[in-house]
Amino acid sequence: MFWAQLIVAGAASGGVLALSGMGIVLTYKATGVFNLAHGAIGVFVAYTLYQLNTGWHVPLGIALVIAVGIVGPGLGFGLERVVFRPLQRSGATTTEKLAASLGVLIVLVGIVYVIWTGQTRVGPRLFPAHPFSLGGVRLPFDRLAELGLLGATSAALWAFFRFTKLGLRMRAVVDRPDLAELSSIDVNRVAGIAWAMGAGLSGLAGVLIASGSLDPYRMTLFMIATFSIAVVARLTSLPMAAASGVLLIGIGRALIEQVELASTSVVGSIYQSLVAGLPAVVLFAALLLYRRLDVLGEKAEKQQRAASARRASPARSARATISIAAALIILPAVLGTGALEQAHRFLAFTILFASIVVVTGFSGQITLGQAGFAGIGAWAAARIANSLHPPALIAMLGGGVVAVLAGLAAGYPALRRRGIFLALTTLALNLVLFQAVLANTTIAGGSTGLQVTRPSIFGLNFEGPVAFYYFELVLVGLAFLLARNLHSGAVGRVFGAIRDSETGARAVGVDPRTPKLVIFAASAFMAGIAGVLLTQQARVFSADGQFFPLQSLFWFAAVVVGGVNSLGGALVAGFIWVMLDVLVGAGGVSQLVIGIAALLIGRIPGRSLLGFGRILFERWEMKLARAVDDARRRPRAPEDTADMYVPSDLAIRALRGEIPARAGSRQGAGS
Amino acid sequence: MSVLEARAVSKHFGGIRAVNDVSIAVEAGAIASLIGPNGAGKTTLFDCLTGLTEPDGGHVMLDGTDVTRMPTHDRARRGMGRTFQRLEVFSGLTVRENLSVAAEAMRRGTIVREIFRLRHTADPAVASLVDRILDELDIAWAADRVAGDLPTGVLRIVELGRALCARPRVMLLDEIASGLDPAETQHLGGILQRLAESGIAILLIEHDLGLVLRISGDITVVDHGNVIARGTPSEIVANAAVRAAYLGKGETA
Repeated sequence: MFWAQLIVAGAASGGVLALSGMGIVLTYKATGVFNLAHGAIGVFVAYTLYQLNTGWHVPLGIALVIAVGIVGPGLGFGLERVVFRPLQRSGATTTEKLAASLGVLIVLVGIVYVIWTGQTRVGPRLFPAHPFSLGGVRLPFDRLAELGLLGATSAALWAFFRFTKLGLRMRAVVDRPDLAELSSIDVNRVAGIAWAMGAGLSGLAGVLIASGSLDPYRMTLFMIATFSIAVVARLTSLPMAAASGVLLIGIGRALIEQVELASTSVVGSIYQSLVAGLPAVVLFAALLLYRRLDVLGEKAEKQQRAASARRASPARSARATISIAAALIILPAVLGTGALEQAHRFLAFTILFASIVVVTGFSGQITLGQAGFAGIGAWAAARIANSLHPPALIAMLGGGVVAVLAGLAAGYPALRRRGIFLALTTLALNLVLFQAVLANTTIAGGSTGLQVTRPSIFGLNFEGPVAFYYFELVLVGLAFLLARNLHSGAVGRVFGAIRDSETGARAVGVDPRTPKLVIFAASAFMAGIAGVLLTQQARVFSADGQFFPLQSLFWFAAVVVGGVNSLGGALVAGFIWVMLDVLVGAGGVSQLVIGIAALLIGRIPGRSLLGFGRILFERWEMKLARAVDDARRRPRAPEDTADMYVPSDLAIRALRGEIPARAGSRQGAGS
Repeated sequence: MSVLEARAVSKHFGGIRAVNDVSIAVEAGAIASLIGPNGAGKTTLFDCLTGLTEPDGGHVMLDGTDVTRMPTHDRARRGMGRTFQRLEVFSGLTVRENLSVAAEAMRRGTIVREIFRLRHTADPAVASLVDRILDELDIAWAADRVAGDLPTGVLRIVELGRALCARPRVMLLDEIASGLDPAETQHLGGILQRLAESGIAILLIEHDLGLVLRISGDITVVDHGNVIARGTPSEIVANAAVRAAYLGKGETA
């Protein structure tokens, strides 16, 4: 009796998640886009239902039809149309597609937080929970209804693919999109419908999960469970998605939860937090255990890379480096104390974002795990400092070394995984690290966190805001030096080769394994040090506030928006992430800007804000050059023909209005 | 002795026999060609030879050593070079950098040390090798252009140059003349002959029969994964089975 109830309840909760997992598989198969925002769509639909029914008293039936039947599928359809189709057509890289779906996630989560403030709400119940007797066993009716819904949906999907013309066409698109297009199937229409169906399933799952209670934590778990179900199904099999949801995430968790270990011991506490985050563990295990996971649509994207990798001239980037360095050195003189605190965070995030540039921009490996590396580094440094009291630099280095170990743990799967599966592997590692270590109350201080002090090195105390600023600035310099070494010379060429064509690299004798491990280790080290700086700045290590796993997604999107191919992009991203809110004077502006820019990444000229800035600058330079040319060639009044020649620097100064043009030309003639 | 030898190599995909019991050998200083219709399994055979695909049966011998289970990069270090039908250039790097990667891959264990250096020193041996090959292949004009900006025909020569920078003993060239005009193909033929004279063994997949008949000493014809003929250019031209498979039944050449 107890076990029957347990299994039914487990199967039902897993079955609901399976609906969402099936949705993500459906869209991935039909379009080759892994929609990281898939769960967020379900969350949005759940809040919409809450607003309609509880907020505006729309009758539940009508509210359901609007939320699940119209808002969810409409959102999916619209996203395909506005965001993902143009991206596919312009031959976007995996990184860009990922960033776009992250943009959608950020904007949706942002809307949910702004409108519904992220607090727990009581959503409408869809099914009554009263018990229902089945063969002498009393089972809750809502659980049975949810299971029935999963069965009905699966049957409907099966029938759709088996018997309808549209289903047949969709299968054709999935198998061979190139051939399907030739045989006059409207691939775009099929993609739009697949997105609508996928989003609809996510919405349905969302309202079922939210039935009774809506809160951000459950919603995050919902998104992660969706990923793990889809990956267990290798992103290809709908029946596998249904089964893995019911069996692994559902019944499996229900049974594992029966095994209890005392949470006071370290092992027990790790076990407990891992059980609580079981979907993340399943995700990580699946990604480690599957020997082969094939990325769809990978071949198509190869041609496109060159444009995004075009580089600025060395002379110009040297000039830019010197002027930015100078500006950063004099900055504390200009800023007030409050702004200086933000500048601290800006510098720490610049290192953090440089760690993403290094691994993604320089070597083509995707990472959604930086919050894990930064967090574990900061945690280790705080623990070392608080228990052993070594010199501050030693504690920081210790944090960096622990982060490197985590980086190697991510780099190892990277030897086999690429594209979206690598992204998910790093995210899963991040989630597991967070669950097992960072959010562990026994070893990481729980909600109070750990106390962190600013360093004092060789008798120099970096406690004060200005001193700490320069301490950070020196580390930014060192991090950029390390990054430069990873990007230039023979090493930089090896990483570039692996990024552009791993096959080509292997064919000329490059063993990609060592470079991949090295780049992940280096990136994790930088992230770890950045994490230490963030905690030193705030004087506290607090996992939830500083290193929540979703941050990894935001940071990745921020760097792609800033410009993932160069260190300048890390600066731009750091500036937007930290300083935009300060400048505008309102919270959440930076996230909104990053979210919107990320989902429109394919339409930004230059494919990043840095690239866009470069284009604007070059245009301005050309205009200036043309103006100078014109000034030289312009036919003069007869009395001026004697001094046709105008030295260009004077002409530029003249154009800037620093000296009158006529005076400039006369001086030029005189010299 | 053959530099590279495939012994009864087979590769199946599901029920399809892409490569079926194919044996082929190429000697130092010789040019051997592999011809056959599209989908005959030529590129799959190259993948088996270079280790990008693991064959289901048979052995690959490089200089008398069995390399069937050896990873691709180790085969490259032992002297097996390759170009690709579907280009695998490093499109974000310049042409010179493309070649340098190959030249530098032959040195060992430098990566960790190089990361912590303060200023990097270019290896003069690498630079002179790259410059020499850029000159030999007439692509010095493109040396500092980003590879992704160059046309396919040039990139095929870049891949050839890249493979040469790894100092190969045998080169597997997969449709290297496609995308070249007749004059360029003529020129390329001369380059390949000079490479062979310098002692490199060359195995060529090529659709340009004129080029194949002019420069190769030995031709193997495959169709549906099977070897259907083998011989000197004149023997192949006279072979009826080859005509049927390669030119299409009912057509006369």
